Amino acid sequence: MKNSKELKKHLMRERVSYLMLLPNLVMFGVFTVYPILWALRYMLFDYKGYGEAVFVGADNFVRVFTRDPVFWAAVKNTFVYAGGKLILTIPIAFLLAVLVSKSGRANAVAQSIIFTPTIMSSAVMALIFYLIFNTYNGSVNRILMSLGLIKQNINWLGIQYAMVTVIIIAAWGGIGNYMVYFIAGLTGISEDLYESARIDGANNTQIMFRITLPLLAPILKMILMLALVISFMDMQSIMVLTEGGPMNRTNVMFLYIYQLFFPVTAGSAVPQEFGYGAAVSLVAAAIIGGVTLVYLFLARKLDKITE
Amino acid sequence: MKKTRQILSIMMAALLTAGLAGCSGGNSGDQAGGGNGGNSAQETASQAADKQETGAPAQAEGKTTISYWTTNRHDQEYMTKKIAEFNESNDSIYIDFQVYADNYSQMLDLAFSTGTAPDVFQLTDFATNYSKGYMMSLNSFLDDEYKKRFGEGAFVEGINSYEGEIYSLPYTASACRLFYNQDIFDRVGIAGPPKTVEEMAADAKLITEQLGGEGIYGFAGNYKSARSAVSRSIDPIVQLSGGTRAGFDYKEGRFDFSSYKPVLEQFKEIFATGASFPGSESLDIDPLRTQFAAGNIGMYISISHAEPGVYLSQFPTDVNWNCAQLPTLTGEVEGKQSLWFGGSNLGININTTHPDEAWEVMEFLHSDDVMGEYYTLGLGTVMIPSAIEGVEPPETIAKMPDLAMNERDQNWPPLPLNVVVEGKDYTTVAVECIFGMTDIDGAIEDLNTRYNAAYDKVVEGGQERIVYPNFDPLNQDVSK
Repeated sequence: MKNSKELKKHLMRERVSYLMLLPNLVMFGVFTVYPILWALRYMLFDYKGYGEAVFVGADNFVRVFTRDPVFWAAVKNTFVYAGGKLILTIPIAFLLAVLVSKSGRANAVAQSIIFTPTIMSSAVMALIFYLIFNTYNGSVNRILMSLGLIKQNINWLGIQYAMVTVIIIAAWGGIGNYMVYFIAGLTGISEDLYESARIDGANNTQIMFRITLPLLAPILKMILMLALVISFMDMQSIMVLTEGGPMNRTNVMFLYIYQLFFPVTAGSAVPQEFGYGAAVSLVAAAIIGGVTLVYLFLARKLDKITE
Repeated sequence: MKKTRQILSIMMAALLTAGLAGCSGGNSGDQAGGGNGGNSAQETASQAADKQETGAPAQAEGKTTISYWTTNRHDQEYMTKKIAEFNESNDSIYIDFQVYADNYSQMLDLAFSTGTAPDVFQLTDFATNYSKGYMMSLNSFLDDEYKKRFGEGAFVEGINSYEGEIYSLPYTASACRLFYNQDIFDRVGIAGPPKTVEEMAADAKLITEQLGGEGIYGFAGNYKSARSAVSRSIDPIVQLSGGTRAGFDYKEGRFDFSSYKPVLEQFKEIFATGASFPGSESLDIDPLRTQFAAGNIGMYISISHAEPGVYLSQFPTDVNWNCAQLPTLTGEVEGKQSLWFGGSNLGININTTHPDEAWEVMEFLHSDDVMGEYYTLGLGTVMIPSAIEGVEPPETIAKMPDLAMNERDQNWPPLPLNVVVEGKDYTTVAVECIFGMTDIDGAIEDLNTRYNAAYDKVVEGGQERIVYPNFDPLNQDVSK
């Protein structure tokens, strides 16, 4: 009895907070939790999205692990893509943040320009890059040719380089976003610390490695995790740019899942299979969950730096 | 420390928001702040440009609105005019005409699953639409008199009917052809279009050797989409050369891809030796067409109904281009070439609340008045004899007789339904072979195993195995 009274009291006191949470929770339930449950209930069925759903037990999972090289190639591609994107994005975003974090009009303009790719539709972005990286007469090849750096056009979206191209474009689109996070972190570091360091005779390199980076550690941990999870879920720009091709060379986990649920064209090379798609989704989610856990374990020290 | 915690909580919120946006729209979280959460790639890319509504809704007042969806853009101008005339003159029906592009198949699935599907719609694929139960049987609307309009043998199992129920009507037809640049042929001294695949490969090499320095290449393919590329080039050549259709051997009732081997070897010769247009493995058909229109491609294979319109309005060109029959392995025709489409086009939504009005719209869209002029304007090879009787043939066919359908082009019997193959489909594997990523013999063996396993599963599930003991690709005898 006492508990329910206390609960009531608590609810009354915090009603504004709960009201403000409500819209987000409702949306989260309707657009995230419900669709996930809806799809997952088919994971033990052979179900094409129409017709009859036939119970097949764990066969969909057996197929994921033993009979689906396309999926595991996609998993490998996802790791290459996510790794490549992180290696390019995070250091560049950090350097840019250091360069433009001080207040001032010029820096504000620079920040806005660097942030612009983030608010662009990635589909439009991919279409433009498709023209820029075009093998036959794209600007990249033309510039490299006129500079004398290459003798023959590079097949940027071909079998050999498609993944590199996709990573470069993804990094271009992601840098602005992480720069803003880093700026938020940098402005959180007290000016006093820098001042006293300078009085003690520290140079810029020392300040960067002894003060800025250690104090950014907790934020860096979050940024890295965000970047990691997001990179694993990326697929839109790849879908427009290469549709996962050529020959699945840029097919990533989530694009493969998307194709299993929504064939991109009427004659898509991946047939629609809701049941199998649901099973693959669960395995993919487990992989991302595993990667995140490993990351959190490895990154646990980052929290302790400032303690 | 407090500040750090505040920042951390802001970032947690950002993570949640990013997750939400990521889940709801298939969007990348990097764009979470951008507010374009729900757009799928194809929608953004094509919606603005290609989904166009026509007609004024004011006209619809007091009438029954019948929605009609199609993907045909090449005839949009003509159809818009005809439908506007219909809407003006008809007192009881208003046609809400909508044209979609690449994302059409998804739009249609979505519309059917949410009960907002159009009354009359262009089919994406007859067999699939039948399996999904989208189409209403038209038998109650069709009397013998009306059926006669479509000529002898117009209603075929698997093409526009299943188990005696007719779901769609013959409309236009299209088949694959070789398109070539006559100027380039003249420059390098090629007498005429190749008759064999080997000749085609040799011609492609010759052109690239002589004109590659100017950025002109012998042959191109749209391999960004394996299915789109293989079904317009490899498949019909295999069929004409006496091979199987999509790997299915009707005589034995099993999948057998071995007839693909010699054709794949020749294509590999073109694409692995550098005789092809650079970047073919990531080319879409439209970028390919722009390069052909710019005079940079000697030959490519595409479909008869689309190309004339493309070079007339979409990518106007001064290039002196022409069209020829597809080459075969030996130069002899040893099988019929399956139509790209023909025999079906539109269906009536099984759930429509206005079946009679929807049928009236179907009748109008297939009428002699609409389809006769359609043919003369060169918008399609019309398959309705009563519509083309006595009307002038289109200019394009007069100029390029090979564009017209002929005795080599024919609908094949239907493929087995609901065969879902695990792993890569044959078109993807074929393209891997062409670009030298997979060994052809091993690939064919693997395809045969996987496709037969999938078909066996369907047969075990109760479907009758398709076996026509007297079948050969030329005289397609389907007696059992």
